[in-house]
Amino acid sequence: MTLEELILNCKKNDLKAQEELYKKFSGTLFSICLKYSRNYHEAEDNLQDAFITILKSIAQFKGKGSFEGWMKRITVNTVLQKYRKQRVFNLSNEEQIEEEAEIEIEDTNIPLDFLLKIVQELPDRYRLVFTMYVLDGHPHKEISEEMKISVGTSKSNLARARKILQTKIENYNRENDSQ
Amino acid sequence: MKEKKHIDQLFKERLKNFEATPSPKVWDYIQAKIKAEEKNRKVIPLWIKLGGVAALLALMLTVGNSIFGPTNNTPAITEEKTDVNSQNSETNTINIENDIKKVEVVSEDKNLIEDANENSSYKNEDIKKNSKNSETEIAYENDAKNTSDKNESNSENIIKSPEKQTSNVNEAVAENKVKNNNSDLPSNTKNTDDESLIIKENAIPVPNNKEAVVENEVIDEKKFDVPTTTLETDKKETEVAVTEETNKRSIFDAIDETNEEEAIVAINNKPDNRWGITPYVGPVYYNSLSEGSSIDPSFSDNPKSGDLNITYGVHVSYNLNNRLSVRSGLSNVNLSYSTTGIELGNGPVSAALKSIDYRKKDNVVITVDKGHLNNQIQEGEFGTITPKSTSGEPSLNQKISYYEIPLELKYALLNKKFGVNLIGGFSTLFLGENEIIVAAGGFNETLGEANNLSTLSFTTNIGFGLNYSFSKKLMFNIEPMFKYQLNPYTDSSVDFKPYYIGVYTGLSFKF
Repeated sequence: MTLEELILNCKKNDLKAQEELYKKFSGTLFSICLKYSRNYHEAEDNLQDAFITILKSIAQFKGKGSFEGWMKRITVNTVLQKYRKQRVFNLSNEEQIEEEAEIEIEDTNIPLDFLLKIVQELPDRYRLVFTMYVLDGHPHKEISEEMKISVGTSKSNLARARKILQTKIENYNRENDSQ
Repeated sequence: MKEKKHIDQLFKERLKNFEATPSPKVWDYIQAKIKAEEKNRKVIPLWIKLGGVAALLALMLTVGNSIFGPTNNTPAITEEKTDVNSQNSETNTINIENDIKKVEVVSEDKNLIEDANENSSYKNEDIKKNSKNSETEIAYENDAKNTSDKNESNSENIIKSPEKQTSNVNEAVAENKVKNNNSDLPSNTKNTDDESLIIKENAIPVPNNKEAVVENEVIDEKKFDVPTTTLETDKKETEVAVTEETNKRSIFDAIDETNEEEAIVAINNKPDNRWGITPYVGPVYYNSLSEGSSIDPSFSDNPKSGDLNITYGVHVSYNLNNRLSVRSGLSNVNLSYSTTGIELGNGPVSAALKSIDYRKKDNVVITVDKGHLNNQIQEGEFGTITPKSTSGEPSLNQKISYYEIPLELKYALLNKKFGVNLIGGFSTLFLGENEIIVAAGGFNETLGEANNLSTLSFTTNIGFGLNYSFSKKLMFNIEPMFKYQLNPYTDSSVDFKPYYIGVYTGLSFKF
């Protein structure tokens, strides 16, 4: 089936179409979940919820814009919503730090798994900002609106995230260097 | 070779577009959830649909009940039955025309009744347990009689645990409509045979059923005092319930099987000759559903009797489709009834009945309840009343003439040379002439007009029609109809709930 046909049939609640849609896009959507979630397990939960939402609201997709983009947005929103409920975004009295000048790092063929892991290990607020900004290219303004934080806080969180990641990578490199 | 990169770039390169595979349990979970939601979603519209069907069927039932109660017009689904039907219908229309006091139909078919008696008494035992259950039981029994190939699905449906009376039967109907594709005509004939036997025997006085219909629009048995000499016993009442329930089944069968026949035999759906003009005439019987009097509250408990009069008019009808037509028209209907148990006197207008506009302005005939005057001059606050001697039993007659404009829907249950229809709708009534007359022996005087009659009133109408098509353009109809008046009096305290039953006989010209 073409994507159009898939969408059409999913709107009719055709189970086969739904399954095919899942098979086609679950990889992409899951990776998004992995980048936003704290760990693999949580990522799976989020993927479940996101995909159910997608199937339920597919009738509202009117063909405007990219379908994949639409699904991705739903996926990200699912995670964000969950964190909102958990009050992850509550104002903290963290001191805002300045963005540092370009942080550079040595790329020693660090495995993807590791990179993913350290992103996941970031505190939620930092991870979300980092992922949204760096990996998904959202400007700070959007991020601040989404997370109900100020632009300043968004920038600060990004800076903190980068610092942590940098440290971890440097540690990793050091460890591997010695081998 | 080590490369220095901006940290952002590093992550971007590696993490931006990777794909990962979730474990299979994710899809399992999603699937399960979606299926559960689907099920919920489907149930609600289904119930809305069933509710809609139920409402429509309830409407048709109220119509059908008035038909199938006193008559044995079990829907002759098959053509083989039509001649039987027409014969029966003739008997029935005659019965309706007759004074309802006589349950003549019972005497008409003694043999059938004897058989039916056996049948119904057998049924009664089962039924007496619980009227709710009985419906399902009867339905089941009826179905069980049918040959299995057609009605296995029927019985299944009906045996389903009945939570609600109507919903259960409606479920059956809904399922029937979907599932039933094989009509085994001979078996149906058998089925209707049995039902018609029962129904014939249960020729209960018309008002019973009709009143129930009117009061609730739901099948309900109510007792009320209609001056009838029926073979009334408890048994009969239960049998009414039985009949009504079996009627339900038979109507569903009828509708259902006529639908099937249409599917099997491709019928041309576009009727030619959509318009029709039908002049008609017929007898009308007038009475009230309640005890009161429209003339004076003091006559509430007096014996009253409805009279037979005449109605004539013309209907204009338009066929919406092969089965449904809408019609209006204009007619004149004359109604009258009389009150007895009174005494007459002479006296001033101020002492006379308040609901009458007297023609004479000074001394008028005074009408009071029997025993009031006792052949003595009465001095009251309103004046002196001198008793009037009369040679016969005095009676107070009210005559009313209305101009009626009906708006009715006619649904054809059977649409062949012989037709059977259900009719329902409303009429607008414009008051014409009316008078109240006092009569006794040879003496006869018009007191005047009633002043409490509404100039504009309405009726709700239900009935059925039988017709015979001489040709595509000419059709003979006979339509017994029950019309209940909605707001006949300007005074809401009047406890008279009039209705009239007419048998409209006419010739339809189609064009």
